[in-house]
Amino acid sequence: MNGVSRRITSHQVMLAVWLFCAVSVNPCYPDQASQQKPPERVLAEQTAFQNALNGIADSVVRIEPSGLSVATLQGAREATPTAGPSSGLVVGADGWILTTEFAVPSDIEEVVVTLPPKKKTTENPKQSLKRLVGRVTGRDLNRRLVLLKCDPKEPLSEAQFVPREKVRPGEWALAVGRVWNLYEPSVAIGIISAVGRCWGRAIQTDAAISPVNYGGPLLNIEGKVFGIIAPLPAETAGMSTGTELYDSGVGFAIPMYDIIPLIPRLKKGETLKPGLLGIGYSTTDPINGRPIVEIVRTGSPAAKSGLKSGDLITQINGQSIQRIADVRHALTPKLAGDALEITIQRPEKKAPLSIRAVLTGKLPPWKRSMLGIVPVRQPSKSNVKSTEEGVVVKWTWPNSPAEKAGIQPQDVITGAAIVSQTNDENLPLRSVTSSNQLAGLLGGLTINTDIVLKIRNSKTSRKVRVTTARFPEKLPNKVPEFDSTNKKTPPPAIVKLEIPEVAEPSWALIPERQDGPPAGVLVFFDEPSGMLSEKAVTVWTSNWREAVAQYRVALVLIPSSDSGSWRQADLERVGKTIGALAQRCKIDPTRIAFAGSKAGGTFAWLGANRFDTIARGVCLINADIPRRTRIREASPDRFRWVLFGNTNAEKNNEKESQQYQKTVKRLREAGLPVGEIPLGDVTERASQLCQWVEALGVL
Amino acid sequence: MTLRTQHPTAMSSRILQVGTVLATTILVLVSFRAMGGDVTAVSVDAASRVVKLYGAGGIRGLESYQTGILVSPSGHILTALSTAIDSEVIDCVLDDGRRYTASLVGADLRRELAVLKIDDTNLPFFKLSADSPRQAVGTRVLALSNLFGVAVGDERVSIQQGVIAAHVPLRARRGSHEAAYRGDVYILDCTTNNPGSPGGCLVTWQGNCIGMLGKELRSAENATWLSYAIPTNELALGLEAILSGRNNESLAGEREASEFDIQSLGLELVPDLLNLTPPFVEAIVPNTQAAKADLQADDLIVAVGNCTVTSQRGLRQELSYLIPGDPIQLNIIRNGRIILVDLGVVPSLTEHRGKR
Repeated sequence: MNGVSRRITSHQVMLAVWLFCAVSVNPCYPDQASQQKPPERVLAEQTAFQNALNGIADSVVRIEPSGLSVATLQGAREATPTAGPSSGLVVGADGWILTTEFAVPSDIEEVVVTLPPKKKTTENPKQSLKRLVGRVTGRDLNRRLVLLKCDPKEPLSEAQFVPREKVRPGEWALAVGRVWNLYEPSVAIGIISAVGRCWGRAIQTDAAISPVNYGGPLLNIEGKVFGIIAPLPAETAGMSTGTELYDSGVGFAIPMYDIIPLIPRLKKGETLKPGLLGIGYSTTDPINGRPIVEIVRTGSPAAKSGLKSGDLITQINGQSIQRIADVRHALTPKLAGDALEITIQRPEKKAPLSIRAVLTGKLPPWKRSMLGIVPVRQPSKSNVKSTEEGVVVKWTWPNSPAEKAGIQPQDVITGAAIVSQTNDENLPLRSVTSSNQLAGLLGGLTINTDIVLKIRNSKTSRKVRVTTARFPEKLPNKVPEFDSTNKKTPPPAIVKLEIPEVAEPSWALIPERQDGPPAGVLVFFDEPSGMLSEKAVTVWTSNWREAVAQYRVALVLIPSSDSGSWRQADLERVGKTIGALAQRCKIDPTRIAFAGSKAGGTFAWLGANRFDTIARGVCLINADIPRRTRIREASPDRFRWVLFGNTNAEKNNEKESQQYQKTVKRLREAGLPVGEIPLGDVTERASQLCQWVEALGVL
Repeated sequence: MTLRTQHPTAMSSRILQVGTVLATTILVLVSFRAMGGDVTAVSVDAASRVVKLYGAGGIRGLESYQTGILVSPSGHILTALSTAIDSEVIDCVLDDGRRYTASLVGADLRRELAVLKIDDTNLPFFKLSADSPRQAVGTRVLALSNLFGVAVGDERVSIQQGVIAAHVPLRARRGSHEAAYRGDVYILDCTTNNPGSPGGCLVTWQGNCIGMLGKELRSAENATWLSYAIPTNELALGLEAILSGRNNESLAGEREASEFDIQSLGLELVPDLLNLTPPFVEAIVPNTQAAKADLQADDLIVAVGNCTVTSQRGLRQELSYLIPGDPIQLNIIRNGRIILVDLGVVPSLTEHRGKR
């Protein structure tokens, strides 16, 4: 085609004349384009679209907040510009209406439901419409659906549903809503793009989906309902509300075959919660990672069912499981109270085991615990051969259970077991090969759990019993340095980290000795200043050179794209920047921290939450977390430590101090270890933060 | 393009080239027909009535190009009134590559339309009729426009396909768009709100011109972009108004806002302190319309007529569109139920001025 069009332009005149004759059949130009009859298929489809729309019209209502609910939401509204009218689908003639959280956020109990007009009119509508109060009876928090009850005087019109086997990619899909026009529903047309999306919860369509039809039905060409259009987050970079994808060619609907069995429970007033099992893995790669359970949360359904660290999941409810992603697919559609049949392969057993777990909506409170072992650095991809078994202790935390138990630097931990209530010390030990694995084994535990460790040193091998203690909130007085005495150590180097499609390169100051142990990483967000020049970076990092070499930390400086503020888009480059750094020097994934000063500190908090399985700690210097953000509960696979750095000896004023205390309280309530550190001058601050990065590896 | 004297061998190769091009083009057209049936012919035909317009240099990121529709055989072009044509020189290029300089005939500020003129005769055009029938929701449409300016020279404008998603007066969502136009529009389910699209042509798959693509606008209410077209009947009225020199007439059925306000009904609302203070009734003045209608303190007003209101500001705005003689029907929430309250009709201006 390209070749053809190039030639056409090279012969414009002749072709223009030729096309003129070939195309315009009538040289006198009729005043409408020639009245061609389109293929019958086109008109037949158009008729089918319109019939389907007419058929569903009486079942699609409009949902709006009332003045009262708007006032309740006022705070939240500023942050969510999308709140407004939305649609709903009649699922019970006596006034049951299904819609989405978009129209009825969690703090709203009542909305205004506008019923379809009694007489179908399209022009000059004069009839008054019936409005009713819709009350929330039940919510499905997993699928973001809300069931409303209103009391109509006459029965409402129920729709027909498409059975599971008829929901197939490629089928026509009509997205219907009642936001534009109260008198007739709107329609957008596309096809079913995929089924089983959003970890098995949604149908995907390319019909234009936006706040205009959230809560409305997605129809097949016969006018039957595939599902309810819902703003589900696609779980790609930075999407949380699910509205980011509007009109983009990607839209989701919750299939009716999943909803219908839940309606009786929603009618009874239940709040359906996502089902939680309480397990975690040692890898953050869900696509390729083998589903080996590492973390088992104390008191969770997983722990109660007898699932143990080291178990390989091979089947869930009869479905074969190969990867961590398969587990997510099997688990995500499940609700609290649902039972799972899990088949596992336990390392020391030959035959597979079958266990039964009943999922919960809320895991028992969990706070990170520790033994006080700080392992030597290990690179991200464990190149270390399994023959070199065990975790080598670099140092022990002062006054920790590990120190008290006499664990020494250079000891090698080769095995571990959690002591069950039976107090049986001869229980089988699980062999320990990496600090990541040991972290997983300890991760799900709460404090006061007894562990037996098998320890080998140059002379002997012994078993030690230790009890987990609270995770520290303060740095120890002194963190061991890395061969600071070695005068041959070359000075750190500044490297540029470029990512495709990002104009402003990031910079890193890295310890320049590639044969040494892997470096910790401190990603620093300063106050927004836009593009950073190498000169500016050299000046900025001059006070960090010593600390970076002493504690082997790669200091990454990320510039803001805007010179005046940090933007959401800047967040997305952080993950790739760390990837680019890993190309340049060996890094220890267990010692990655985000830090920032003032606006940069708040941004570091957002970054640590966005990349919460990468960042192990976040330090806010003279900064607070955004006041309205929801703080997610602490969990073993998320970041482990929040540190507030303060450069002023005393708080600036009372109000700020109160606000700070409030934040600390909120974070602690969420189960996060929160520390405060009085920071010294710039050089001392660099040293303190680099020591903290080393300390983040504590187990 | 000038034809230079050709060397004989070059000449024969030229003939060969032209032959190849003709053959290839026929093949392409034939295959298009096979794929799209007569729809290809419809779109090709329609595209000959659509022109590419180029103004002089965009202002701060605003595009300097858009699309226009030929509406007379003597070169009248209807397009969207925008900064792109706010220019001394407007270039106009037809789908066969013919290039003209267009002059501005006039503008309809209410419909945000402009008429341009190029000097020629016997041009292909669409005749716009003021009584064009309304197209039903779900009608399949083709949108022709020079979106992103990808068509140059004798290239035809781009074609997108979709359906009419809704037919809705923009005034029903007034205040949510930064546009003067308040008449009916077709909302489309395809993305036509692109640079270069304004002034583009919306046709049915039978080839009838049913509207003109609007400007790039976004709804302030839910911050989504709008893809819409102004229906042909409004275009015809606008065209007629411009050609006859009446360029500021009001839209069919449009009414001026009145000075009517809520207090003249005998209704007092709670103090309006917040941006979105809910319209709760604070008190009722005895012997007024509100008292007769049995409105009570603590009632929450949720709708005026068929328009939902969520704040006092929204309530005032809705009421301001009523004129003397209009019925006033309010939906209120009382004890958890929505009740319809009839307040009679809007009093005449003298009447409620007198009361103040």
